[in-house]
Amino acid sequence: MKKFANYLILIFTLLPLQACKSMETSQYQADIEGEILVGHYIYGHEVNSFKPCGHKYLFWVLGSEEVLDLLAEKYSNYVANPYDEVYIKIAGNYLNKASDGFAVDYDGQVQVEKVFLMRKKSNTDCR
Amino acid sequence: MLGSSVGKNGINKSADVKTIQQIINLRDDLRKVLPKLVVDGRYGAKTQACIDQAQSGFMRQPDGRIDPYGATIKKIWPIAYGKPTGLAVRGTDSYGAGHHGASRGSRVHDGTDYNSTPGQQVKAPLSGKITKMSKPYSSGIDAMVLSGVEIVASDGTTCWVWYMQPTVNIVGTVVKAGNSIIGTAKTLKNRYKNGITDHIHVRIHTRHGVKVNPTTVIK
Repeated sequence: MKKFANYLILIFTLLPLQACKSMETSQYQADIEGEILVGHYIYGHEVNSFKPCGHKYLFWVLGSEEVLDLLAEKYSNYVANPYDEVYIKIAGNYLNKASDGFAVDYDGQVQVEKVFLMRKKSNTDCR
Repeated sequence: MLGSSVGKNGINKSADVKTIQQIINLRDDLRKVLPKLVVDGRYGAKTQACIDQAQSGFMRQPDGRIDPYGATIKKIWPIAYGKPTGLAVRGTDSYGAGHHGASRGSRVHDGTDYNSTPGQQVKAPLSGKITKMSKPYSSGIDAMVLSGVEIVASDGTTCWVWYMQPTVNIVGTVVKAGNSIIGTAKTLKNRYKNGITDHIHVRIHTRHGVKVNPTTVIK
Protein backbone atom coordinates (compact mmCIF):
# COMPACT_ATOMS: atom_id res chain seq x y z
CA MET A 1 0.00 0.00 0.00
CA LYS A 2 2.89 2.30 0.97
CA LYS A 3 4.54 1.41 -2.37
CA PHE A 4 1.42 2.38 -4.27
CA ALA A 5 1.23 5.71 -2.38
CA ASN A 6 4.84 6.46 -3.30
CA TYR A 7 4.04 5.66 -6.95
CA LEU A 8 1.13 8.12 -6.87
CA ILE A 9 3.36 10.81 -5.36
CA LEU A 10 5.90 10.25 -8.11
CA ILE A 11 3.23 10.48 -10.83
CA PHE A 12 1.80 13.71 -9.41
CA THR A 13 5.28 15.18 -9.12
CA LEU A 14 6.30 14.29 -12.70
CA LEU A 15 3.09 15.37 -14.40
CA PRO A 16 3.56 19.11 -13.80
CA LEU A 17 7.20 18.79 -14.84
CA GLN A 18 6.17 17.10 -18.09
CA ALA A 19 3.62 19.86 -18.66
CA CYS A 20 6.33 22.49 -18.19
CA LYS A 21 8.59 20.63 -20.64
CA SER A 22 5.78 20.48 -23.23
CA MET A 23 5.19 24.18 -22.83
CA GLU A 24 8.90 24.81 -23.28
CA THR A 25 8.94 22.71 -26.45
CA SER A 26 5.92 24.54 -27.85
CA GLN A 27 7.47 27.89 -27.07
CA TYR A 28 10.74 26.74 -28.67
CA GLN A 29 8.95 25.64 -31.82
CA ALA A 30 6.92 28.82 -31.94
CA ASP A 31 10.15 30.83 -32.00
CA ILE A 32 11.27 29.06 -35.15
CA GLU A 33 9.62 29.52 -38.50
CA GLY A 34 9.56 26.24 -40.41
CA GLU A 35 10.02 22.56 -39.74
CA ILE A 36 13.13 21.11 -38.16
CA LEU A 37 14.94 19.25 -40.95
CA VAL A 38 18.05 17.09 -40.95
CA GLY A 39 20.04 15.80 -43.90
CA HIS A 40 23.05 16.40 -46.10
CA TYR A 41 24.08 19.71 -47.55
CA ILE A 42 26.40 20.71 -50.41
CA TYR A 43 27.54 24.22 -51.19
CA GLY A 44 29.71 25.15 -54.15
CA HIS A 45 29.81 26.93 -57.46
CA GLU A 46 26.36 26.38 -59.03
CA VAL A 47 25.30 24.08 -56.18
CA ASN A 48 23.38 24.78 -52.99
CA SER A 49 21.56 21.55 -52.19
CA PHE A 50 19.87 19.75 -49.33
CA LYS A 51 18.99 16.05 -49.24
CA PRO A 52 16.76 15.23 -46.26
CA CYS A 53 17.49 12.07 -44.29
CA GLY A 54 15.35 9.18 -45.50
CA HIS A 55 14.34 10.82 -48.78
CA LYS A 56 15.59 10.39 -52.31
CA TYR A 57 14.64 13.95 -53.29
CA LEU A 58 17.14 16.74 -53.63
CA PHE A 59 16.23 20.35 -52.86
CA TRP A 60 17.76 23.63 -53.92
CA VAL A 61 18.49 25.82 -50.89
CA LEU A 62 17.03 29.32 -50.63
CA GLY A 63 17.46 31.78 -47.80
CA SER A 64 18.25 35.29 -46.76
CA GLU A 65 21.69 36.65 -47.58
CA GLU A 66 22.59 36.20 -43.89
CA VAL A 67 21.54 32.52 -43.79
CA LEU A 68 23.19 31.64 -47.12
CA ASP A 69 26.43 33.35 -46.09
CA LEU A 70 26.39 31.47 -42.79
CA LEU A 71 25.88 28.13 -44.57
CA ALA A 72 28.70 28.87 -47.02
CA GLU A 73 31.07 29.99 -44.28
CA LYS A 74 30.40 26.98 -42.05
CA TYR A 75 30.59 24.60 -45.01
CA SER A 76 34.10 25.72 -45.91
CA ASN A 77 35.26 24.64 -42.44
CA TYR A 78 34.13 21.04 -42.85
CA VAL A 79 35.05 19.97 -46.38
CA ALA A 80 38.30 19.03 -48.07
CA ASN A 81 37.06 18.81 -51.67
CA PRO A 82 34.52 20.74 -53.76
CA TYR A 83 30.98 19.37 -53.44
CA ASP A 84 31.67 17.16 -50.37
CA GLU A 85 28.55 16.53 -48.26
CA VAL A 86 28.11 17.73 -44.67
CA TYR A 87 25.39 16.91 -42.16
CA ILE A 88 23.06 19.74 -41.12
CA LYS A 89 20.10 20.44 -38.89
CA ILE A 90 18.01 23.38 -40.02
CA ALA A 91 14.62 25.04 -39.72
CA GLY A 92 13.01 25.48 -43.10
CA ASN A 93 10.04 25.11 -45.38
CA TYR A 94 9.73 23.14 -48.58
CA LEU A 95 8.72 25.08 -51.67
CA ASN A 96 7.73 24.13 -55.22
CA LYS A 97 10.17 23.34 -57.99
CA ALA A 98 11.89 26.39 -59.45
CA SER A 99 11.21 27.71 -62.95
CA ASP A 100 14.54 29.42 -63.64
CA GLY A 101 18.23 29.06 -62.84
CA PHE A 102 20.22 26.13 -61.53
CA ALA A 103 17.37 25.33 -59.13
CA VAL A 104 15.29 23.85 -61.99
CA ASP A 105 17.55 20.77 -61.91
CA TYR A 106 16.28 19.90 -58.41
CA ASP A 107 13.10 18.20 -57.22
CA GLY A 108 12.05 21.24 -55.19
CA GLN A 109 13.33 24.06 -53.06
CA VAL A 110 13.77 24.54 -49.33
CA GLN A 111 13.69 27.98 -47.72
CA VAL A 112 16.11 27.82 -44.80
CA GLU A 113 15.22 30.05 -41.85
CA LYS A 114 17.78 28.94 -39.29
CA VAL A 115 20.89 26.75 -39.07
CA PHE A 116 21.24 24.75 -35.84
CA LEU A 117 24.08 22.41 -36.63
CA MET A 118 26.61 21.55 -39.29
CA ARG A 119 29.24 18.84 -39.04
CA LYS A 120 31.25 16.45 -41.17
CA LYS A 121 29.30 13.67 -42.83
CA SER A 122 29.34 10.31 -41.07
CA ASN A 123 27.79 6.89 -41.64
CA THR A 124 25.53 7.30 -38.61
CA ASP A 125 24.06 10.66 -39.67
CA CYS A 126 20.55 9.60 -40.59
CA ARG A 127 20.03 6.70 -38.17
CA MET B 1 10.51 32.39 -81.03
CA LEU B 2 6.99 32.84 -82.39
CA GLY B 3 4.01 32.44 -80.07
CA SER B 4 1.50 32.25 -82.90
CA SER B 5 1.19 32.67 -86.67
CA VAL B 6 2.03 35.81 -88.62
CA GLY B 7 0.80 36.78 -92.12
CA LYS B 8 -2.21 36.00 -94.27
CA ASN B 9 -4.99 34.51 -92.08
CA GLY B 10 -2.57 34.52 -89.18
CA ILE B 11 -3.21 35.61 -85.59
CA ASN B 12 -0.71 38.47 -85.99
CA LYS B 13 0.00 39.25 -82.35
CA SER B 14 2.10 42.35 -81.95
CA ALA B 15 5.11 40.60 -80.35
CA ASP B 16 5.20 38.01 -83.15
CA VAL B 17 4.81 40.61 -85.92
CA LYS B 18 7.72 42.53 -84.35
CA THR B 19 9.84 39.36 -84.42
CA ILE B 20 9.13 38.85 -88.14
CA GLN B 21 9.77 42.53 -88.93
CA GLN B 22 13.15 42.32 -87.19
CA ILE B 23 14.07 39.13 -89.05
CA ILE B 24 13.13 40.63 -92.41
CA ASN B 25 15.24 43.72 -91.67
CA LEU B 26 18.21 41.51 -90.76
CA ARG B 27 17.96 39.50 -94.01
CA ASP B 28 20.28 41.10 -96.55
CA ASP B 29 18.66 39.25 -99.47
CA LEU B 30 15.22 40.72 -98.68
CA ARG B 31 16.60 44.19 -98.00
CA LYS B 32 17.96 44.30 -101.55
CA VAL B 33 14.47 44.08 -103.08
CA LEU B 34 12.24 45.54 -100.39
CA PRO B 35 12.41 48.64 -98.19
CA LYS B 36 13.31 48.32 -94.51
CA LEU B 37 10.28 47.71 -92.32
CA VAL B 38 9.34 49.81 -89.34
CA VAL B 39 9.47 47.47 -86.32
CA ASP B 40 6.18 48.50 -84.73
CA GLY B 41 4.40 45.14 -84.29
CA ARG B 42 1.61 46.21 -86.65
CA TYR B 43 0.71 43.77 -89.39
CA GLY B 44 0.04 45.41 -92.76
CA ALA B 45 0.66 45.26 -96.51
CA LYS B 46 4.40 45.99 -96.26
CA THR B 47 5.02 43.19 -93.78
CA GLN B 48 2.90 40.80 -95.87
CA ALA B 49 4.81 41.75 -99.04
CA CYS B 50 8.05 40.82 -97.30
CA ILE B 51 6.64 37.47 -96.15
CA ASP B 52 5.48 36.72 -99.72
CA GLN B 53 8.88 37.70 -101.11
CA ALA B 54 10.70 35.53 -98.58
CA GLN B 55 8.52 32.49 -99.30
CA SER B 56 8.85 32.89 -103.06
CA GLY B 57 12.50 31.99 -102.70
CA PHE B 58 11.86 28.46 -101.42
CA MET B 59 8.15 27.60 -101.74
CA ARG B 60 6.38 26.63 -104.95
CA GLN B 61 3.02 27.77 -103.60
CA PRO B 62 3.62 30.41 -100.92
CA ASP B 63 0.78 30.59 -98.38
CA GLY B 64 1.82 33.98 -97.03
CA ARG B 65 1.84 32.76 -93.45
CA ILE B 66 4.60 32.02 -90.94
CA ASP B 67 3.74 29.45 -88.26
CA PRO B 68 5.66 28.72 -85.05
CA TYR B 69 8.22 25.95 -85.70
CA GLY B 70 7.05 25.81 -89.33
CA ALA B 71 9.13 25.62 -92.51
CA THR B 72 9.14 29.36 -93.19
CA ILE B 73 10.44 30.53 -89.80
CA LYS B 74 13.12 27.81 -89.86
CA LYS B 75 14.13 28.91 -93.34
CA ILE B 76 14.22 32.68 -92.77
CA TRP B 77 15.93 32.50 -89.36
CA PRO B 78 17.73 29.16 -89.38
CA ILE B 79 19.15 27.63 -86.26
CA ALA B 80 22.83 28.53 -85.90
CA TYR B 81 25.40 28.58 -83.12
CA GLY B 82 28.38 30.80 -82.33
CA LYS B 83 31.04 31.25 -79.69
CA PRO B 84 29.88 33.59 -76.91
CA THR B 85 33.29 34.87 -75.79
CA GLY B 86 35.75 33.56 -78.34
CA LEU B 87 37.66 31.87 -75.52
CA ALA B 88 38.18 28.24 -74.52
CA VAL B 89 36.01 26.07 -72.30
CA ARG B 90 36.79 26.50 -68.61
CA GLY B 91 39.17 23.83 -67.36
CA THR B 92 39.43 22.62 -63.77
CA ASP B 93 39.97 25.16 -61.01
CA SER B 94 39.43 25.07 -57.25
CA TYR B 95 35.64 25.19 -57.74
CA GLY B 96 35.31 22.36 -60.25
CA ALA B 97 35.39 22.00 -64.04
CA GLY B 98 33.45 23.76 -66.79
CA HIS B 99 32.70 21.01 -69.28
CA HIS B 100 29.25 19.54 -69.86
CA GLY B 101 28.73 16.64 -67.47
CA ALA B 102 31.31 17.81 -64.90
CA SER B 103 30.46 17.03 -61.26
CA ARG B 104 28.18 19.39 -59.39
CA GLY B 105 27.78 17.35 -56.22
CA SER B 106 24.87 14.94 -56.65
CA ARG B 107 24.15 16.42 -60.08
CA VAL B 108 26.22 17.01 -63.19
CA HIS B 109 26.95 20.25 -65.00
CA ASP B 110 24.18 20.91 -67.52
CA GLY B 111 25.91 23.33 -69.87
CA THR B 112 29.38 24.48 -70.80
CA ASP B 113 31.40 27.28 -69.21
CA TYR B 114 33.25 29.51 -71.68
CA ASN B 115 36.14 31.49 -70.25
CA SER B 116 35.57 35.24 -70.25
CA THR B 117 37.27 38.48 -69.34
CA PRO B 118 35.14 40.67 -67.08
CA GLY B 119 33.65 43.52 -69.10
CA GLN B 120 34.10 41.84 -72.48
CA GLN B 121 31.19 41.74 -74.89
CA VAL B 122 29.23 38.52 -74.96
CA LYS B 123 27.80 37.38 -78.28
CA ALA B 124 24.68 35.27 -78.81
CA PRO B 125 25.56 31.54 -78.79
CA LEU B 126 22.29 30.75 -80.62
CA SER B 127 20.32 32.51 -83.36
CA GLY B 128 16.86 33.31 -82.08
CA LYS B 129 14.92 35.76 -79.99
CA ILE B 130 15.73 36.92 -76.47
CA THR B 131 12.56 35.89 -74.72
CA LYS B 132 13.32 36.93 -71.14
CA MET B 133 15.90 37.83 -68.55
CA SER B 134 17.06 34.73 -66.68
CA LYS B 135 18.79 34.45 -63.33
CA PRO B 136 21.06 31.56 -62.37
CA TYR B 137 20.29 32.08 -58.68
CA SER B 138 17.04 33.12 -57.06
CA SER B 139 18.11 34.22 -53.57
CA GLY B 140 20.99 35.76 -51.67
CA ILE B 141 23.67 38.05 -53.03
CA ASP B 142 24.07 35.88 -56.15
CA ALA B 143 20.51 36.69 -57.21
CA MET B 144 21.30 40.39 -57.03
CA VAL B 145 24.58 40.39 -58.95
CA LEU B 146 24.42 37.48 -61.38
CA SER B 147 22.10 37.59 -64.34
CA GLY B 148 21.59 36.43 -67.92
CA VAL B 149 19.12 35.86 -70.73
CA GLU B 150 17.05 33.15 -72.38
CA ILE B 151 17.20 32.77 -76.18
CA VAL B 152 14.68 30.70 -78.14
CA ALA B 153 15.48 29.61 -81.71
CA SER B 154 13.09 29.09 -84.63
CA ASP B 155 12.81 25.35 -83.91
CA GLY B 156 12.19 25.90 -80.18
CA THR B 157 15.74 25.14 -79.06
CA THR B 158 16.36 27.18 -75.92
CA CYS B 159 19.64 28.57 -74.66
CA TRP B 160 20.38 30.22 -71.33
CA VAL B 161 23.43 32.46 -71.00
CA TRP B 162 24.39 33.31 -67.40
CA TYR B 163 26.99 35.40 -65.54
CA MET B 164 26.72 38.48 -67.72
CA GLN B 165 25.05 41.86 -67.58
CA PRO B 166 22.42 41.80 -70.36
CA THR B 167 22.30 44.71 -72.77
CA VAL B 168 19.58 47.24 -71.88
CA ASN B 169 16.19 46.53 -73.53
CA ILE B 170 17.48 43.28 -75.05
CA VAL B 171 14.30 41.26 -74.34
CA GLY B 172 12.27 40.84 -77.53
CA THR B 173 15.30 41.34 -79.77
CA VAL B 174 16.14 38.91 -82.58
CA VAL B 175 19.80 37.89 -82.39
CA LYS B 176 22.28 36.22 -84.71
CA ALA B 177 24.68 33.60 -83.32
CA GLY B 178 28.28 34.71 -82.97
CA ASN B 179 27.36 38.19 -84.14
CA SER B 180 24.81 39.99 -81.95
CA ILE B 181 26.09 41.39 -78.67
CA ILE B 182 23.77 40.39 -75.84
CA GLY B 183 25.66 41.70 -72.81
CA THR B 184 28.95 42.09 -70.96
CA ALA B 185 30.73 39.43 -68.94
CA LYS B 186 30.78 39.74 -65.15
CA THR B 187 33.40 38.54 -62.72
CA LEU B 188 32.77 35.64 -60.35
CA LYS B 189 35.94 36.27 -58.36
CA ASN B 190 34.20 38.55 -55.83
CA ARG B 191 31.94 35.65 -54.90
CA TYR B 192 34.33 32.72 -55.22
CA LYS B 193 37.59 34.02 -53.83
CA ASN B 194 39.80 30.93 -53.97
CA GLY B 195 40.66 31.09 -57.64
CA ILE B 196 37.68 30.56 -59.93
CA THR B 197 38.17 31.13 -63.67
CA ASP B 198 35.79 33.84 -64.87
CA HIS B 199 33.33 32.39 -67.35
CA ILE B 200 29.95 32.54 -69.06
CA HIS B 201 27.63 29.59 -68.51
CA VAL B 202 25.80 28.36 -71.62
CA ARG B 203 22.98 25.81 -71.28
CA ILE B 204 21.08 24.44 -74.27
CA HIS B 205 17.91 22.31 -74.33
CA THR B 206 15.85 21.16 -77.29
CA ARG B 207 12.22 22.27 -77.57
CA HIS B 208 11.29 19.03 -75.79
CA GLY B 209 13.67 19.60 -72.89
CA VAL B 210 16.47 17.27 -74.00
CA LYS B 211 19.85 18.49 -72.73
CA VAL B 212 22.40 19.36 -75.40
CA ASN B 213 26.14 19.48 -74.84
CA PRO B 214 26.94 22.99 -76.16
CA THR B 215 30.37 21.93 -77.44
CA THR B 216 28.70 19.55 -79.90
CA VAL B 217 26.98 22.46 -81.65
CA ILE B 218 29.13 25.53 -80.90
CA LYS B 219 32.19 25.06 -83.09
